[in-house]
Amino acid sequence: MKNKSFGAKLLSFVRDNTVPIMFVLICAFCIPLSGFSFSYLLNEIITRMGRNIFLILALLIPIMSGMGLNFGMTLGAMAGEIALIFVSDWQIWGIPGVILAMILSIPISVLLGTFCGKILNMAKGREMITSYIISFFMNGIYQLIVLYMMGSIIPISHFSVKLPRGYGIRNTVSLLNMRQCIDNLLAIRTNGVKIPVLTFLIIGVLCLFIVWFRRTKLGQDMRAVGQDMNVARDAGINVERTRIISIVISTVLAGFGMILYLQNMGNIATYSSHSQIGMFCIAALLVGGASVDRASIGNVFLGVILFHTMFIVAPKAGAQITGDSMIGEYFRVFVSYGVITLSLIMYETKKRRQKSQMGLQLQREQMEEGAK
Amino acid sequence: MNEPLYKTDLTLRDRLRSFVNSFGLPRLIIAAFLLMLYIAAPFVGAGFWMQISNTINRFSWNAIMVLAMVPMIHSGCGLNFGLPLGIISGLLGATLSIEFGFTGGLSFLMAILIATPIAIILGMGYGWLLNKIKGGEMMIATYVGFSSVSFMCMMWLLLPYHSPTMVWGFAGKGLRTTISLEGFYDKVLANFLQINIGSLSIPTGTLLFFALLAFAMWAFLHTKTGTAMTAVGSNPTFARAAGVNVDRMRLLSVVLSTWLAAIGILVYEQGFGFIQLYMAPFYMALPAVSAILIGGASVNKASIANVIIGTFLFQGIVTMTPTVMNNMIHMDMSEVIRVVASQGMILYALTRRTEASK
Amino acid sequence: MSNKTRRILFCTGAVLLLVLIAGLMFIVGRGHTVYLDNKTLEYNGQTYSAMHKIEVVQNGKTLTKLNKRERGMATNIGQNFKITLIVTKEKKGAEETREIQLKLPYSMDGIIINLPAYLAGLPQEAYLSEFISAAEQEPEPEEALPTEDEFGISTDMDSTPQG
Repeated sequence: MKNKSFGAKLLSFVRDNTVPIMFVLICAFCIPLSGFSFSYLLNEIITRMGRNIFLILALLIPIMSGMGLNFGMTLGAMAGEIALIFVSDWQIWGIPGVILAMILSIPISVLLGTFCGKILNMAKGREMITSYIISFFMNGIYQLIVLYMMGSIIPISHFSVKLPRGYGIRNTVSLLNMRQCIDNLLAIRTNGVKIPVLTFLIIGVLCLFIVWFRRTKLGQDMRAVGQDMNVARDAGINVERTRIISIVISTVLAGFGMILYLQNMGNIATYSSHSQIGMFCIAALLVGGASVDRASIGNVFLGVILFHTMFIVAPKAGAQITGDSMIGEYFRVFVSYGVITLSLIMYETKKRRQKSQMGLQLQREQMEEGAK
Repeated sequence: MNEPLYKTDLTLRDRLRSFVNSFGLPRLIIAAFLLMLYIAAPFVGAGFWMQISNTINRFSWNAIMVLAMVPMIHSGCGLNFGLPLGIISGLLGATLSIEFGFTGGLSFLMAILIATPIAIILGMGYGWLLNKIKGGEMMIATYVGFSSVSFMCMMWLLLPYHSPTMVWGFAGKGLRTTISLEGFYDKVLANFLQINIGSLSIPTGTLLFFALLAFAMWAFLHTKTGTAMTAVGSNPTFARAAGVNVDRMRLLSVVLSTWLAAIGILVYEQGFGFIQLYMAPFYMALPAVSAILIGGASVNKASIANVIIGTFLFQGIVTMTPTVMNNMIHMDMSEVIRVVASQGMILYALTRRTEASK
Repeated sequence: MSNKTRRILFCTGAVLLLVLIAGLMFIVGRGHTVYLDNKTLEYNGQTYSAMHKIEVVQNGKTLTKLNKRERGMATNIGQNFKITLIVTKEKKGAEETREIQLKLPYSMDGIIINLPAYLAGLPQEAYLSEFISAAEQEPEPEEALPTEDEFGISTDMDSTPQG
């Protein structure tokens, strides 16, 4: 009897954590093949944790309010990039530059987030595909502003930022003067592993903020909205406003995250840095065991470690197996998309199952009523 | 909505308003913009007939992929963002046809013949999946498309192709990113009965091929099965009560859509002259989706007329904006305009409240 | 005080604080590149000859050692530029340590400082001049615009691992 319940428990554990377990297996298979040294791998993973966790944490709040995976976090990333372009035009360097960029990104993020939230309110029930299309739409607007209006309408003058033709921003904007300024402050270096303590402190503060936020009135409201919009509305919660706020917070955090990400990278690929960021962050979150309607800080950390381990070792391992490094590159892209697909399917089937169960229960209750 | 009771009471303004409402403001703006481009074209020195024949050419390449949207919209599966899956079937058909040594017009026929079973099998799997997740089709369709494209990226490298026209010369294996169709089916349809008047050239064969498929689709939608499919889309509960097998209808529509996408990419290739592999099919669903929406379709309603109007408008903007804008303001903003117009159109369609998914 | 006014006050306060910090960062964070010349300079008919060797130390780290007619580079965030020079005037002469502290003009990105002139105590216009980079003057060949449309995809998020 006891054995059976253990088996059932194991089964349900495996079913609930299919994706992370799959990834642990992939990593366990690929790491020895890749032939990377442990300290190299550790260093890479820690670097990528510092670079990506903040961005991924930005996804948590819309999930809480039932809006699914916020593909619109790209909007925040754009806001961060625009802020950084201004800061490098003004030649503000180092940590002051990062802080100034963060402050500058806030109004842009709030504006974009409000826009996104308003549109998502008009497309309830299909937030994800809508936010996904919004990110494409905004990319067009972003190009319009950065490639045509900056330098001609919006004052941009520094030669290192502006295209020689007189308007538009260069393909890459160097952030050499603020590169890793936050990572290097208070950093600990041992055995070839660099731990960016300050970055992790900032991430820690954000984690505390999220934990605290969940307990506030607004956070509770968001959870209620996420559970059931109609019930929440009956309880006197302004559903539309709550949803907009949750997207705005997510966008602002994504803007900060993008600035942290880019200060680590050391340059902005003006027209492509943001385009894939949403996809990778969402994939990493899902790899950590999150689903469309439930995600925790633990998922974020686990996801970053697993996803990026796979990302680092896959090309090398692929080259080992097939003799072609491109296979590994394509493999990791495939896995990223595959994970998102799988999670979306699991979420939708679960939702349908619950719905039909609820329907059955309702039917049963009605039958009982009738019997009385 | 305050519908006036008597049509005779309608003032011109009301009529205009209801026209705008039914047609949709974004669509009107896009149509007006295109009209403006055509009027401006001769003044800025961009040859008018050149532009027209460019537009018609691109229309003939793309129309079938837009037509592929119709069945799934009719059966209530929404916009087929999973179009790349069908495109992959087409690409498999094309590459296998060349691999087996077919040349000339025959290679096109064989490509269609080989692509068909692949498209049907993939479409059935895809349709089965979409039946499992009713209500969340569009997002999952998008990612099914992405996953299949990135999966095929590996396959193009790994599958044992040997035809020297297709594999990388130095390695002797792995398909190239672009494969020229010269000697195979380059312009095989377009050259059939081609009409050339001055700088205007019309690819009659391609247009006829599209007309044939479009007519077949129209006829199909008026058969018993076709009307049942539409019923499933507009009211699944009613359809079920009337004894229609909802899941089977949806499956059929997905298979049809996937097959049309496969044929669509083959026709596109014969016009374009190249097969594009790897990441090329990745975002091919988006232009098709926005084209049919621009043509007047919505998330759950589409007609053949929508396909024709939409493809013409969309391709018109794609071909006209670069030349006209460049000549007018010396800035090539066509990219931005295209993105904003097409994505804006999709956004508009997704936010229509009256068409909220069931 | 009602809840609403308190909230408005709080919000205005927060916005003001952020603007204040932003303004502060704007001033504090301005970066300058300082080029240090060890070159002979003529000023008002007088010649200030270059030193045999100058060692430039910033924040306890040796940046460069400048021989005659050489140029070194230092970067500085903010307008207070502080370095230590270890000067050897003549060959085999005694070393002399000088602390330098000067205000950099906010508007200049690149600044050239002629060290012999500065060490001789000349006025600012003599030793300080703006550095205009060659890249700024000569129009570079037109950079390739993003040719890839929105349908292009980069398969790699971290394609430029650095450091």
